[in-house]
Amino acid sequence: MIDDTLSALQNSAFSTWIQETAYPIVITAHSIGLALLVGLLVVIDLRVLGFAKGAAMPGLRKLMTVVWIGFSCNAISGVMLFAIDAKKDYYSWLFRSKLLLIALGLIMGARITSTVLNKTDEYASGDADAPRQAKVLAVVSLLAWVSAIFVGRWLAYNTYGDVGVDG
Amino acid sequence: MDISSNYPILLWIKSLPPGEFVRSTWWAFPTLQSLHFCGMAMLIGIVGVLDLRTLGLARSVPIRPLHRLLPLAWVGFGLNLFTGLMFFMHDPFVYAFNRSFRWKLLFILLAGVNALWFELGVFTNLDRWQGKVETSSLAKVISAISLALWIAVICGGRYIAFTNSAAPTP
Repeated sequence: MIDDTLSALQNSAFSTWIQETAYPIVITAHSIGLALLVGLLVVIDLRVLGFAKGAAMPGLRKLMTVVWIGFSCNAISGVMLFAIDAKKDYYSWLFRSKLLLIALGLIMGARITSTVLNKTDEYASGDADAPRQAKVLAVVSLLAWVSAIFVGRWLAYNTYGDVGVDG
Repeated sequence: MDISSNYPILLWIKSLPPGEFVRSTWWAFPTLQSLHFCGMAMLIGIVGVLDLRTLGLARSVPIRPLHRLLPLAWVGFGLNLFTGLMFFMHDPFVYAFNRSFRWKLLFILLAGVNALWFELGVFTNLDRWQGKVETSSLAKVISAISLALWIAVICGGRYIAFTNSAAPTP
């Protein structure tokens, strides 16, 4: 049943259009989204870990808007990449791990937001130190995103036969 | 026809141990690429936050502490310079004549010059830009250019694989 759906998706005109036309733009968008999503979360994690003291953590909450733009960009481009090879991706443990790592990264982001960034009064000072628990969240967040990047790269080799430089 | 013998310097670079190493293992190239993406996120993330703040996002945050993250952006840059050189040595003929690669290098150079302009031209006013204070229009223009250039760098990098790499035939 699910196999029929996956086959229908990867044999659809949408999938063909991506493979023949949109692919370079889609993976480029996936990289730009990555830079926004992971790059900005890295800065928030670093601040929670004690770098850039002087910047009040609740002030950095505004960056989350751009993080979500990056995430949306990658969710859309990610679904498009999935459509090219739906069946292989669906049964790939690399693909499933990547989704789990992204979920883990997002949960860490949400928990850092609720425990630190949203506590406008408690952490109003630029020099405020984040609680130990938030620092653990920040470390897990960094590890989750780095792992997601590695798994994503390997997935590209595994699924699309991407040999990197030779397309 | 193999014209690689017309480019002895590239052949020599290709014959060096680092290139030999990357070609001889299946895992080196994807590992280097993964690190290249991590370095990219670190470099563009930190520079991007500084740019976005200068443009007016997260206005309550003073610029100086964000600016103090720049050494870490340099760590990302160093990582990407290293991994980038490894890609090049793995097969210089994939990159040397590739237009996307050349554009990417040009955009990185321009981003560097632009960052220098920020440091020397407008950063001296930094302490005035405490939380809530508007940055100058010049600073905003430089930051917008910076964001555009780094996005262009990403595009150039990704399009290497879709661009002809052949050396010009003599």
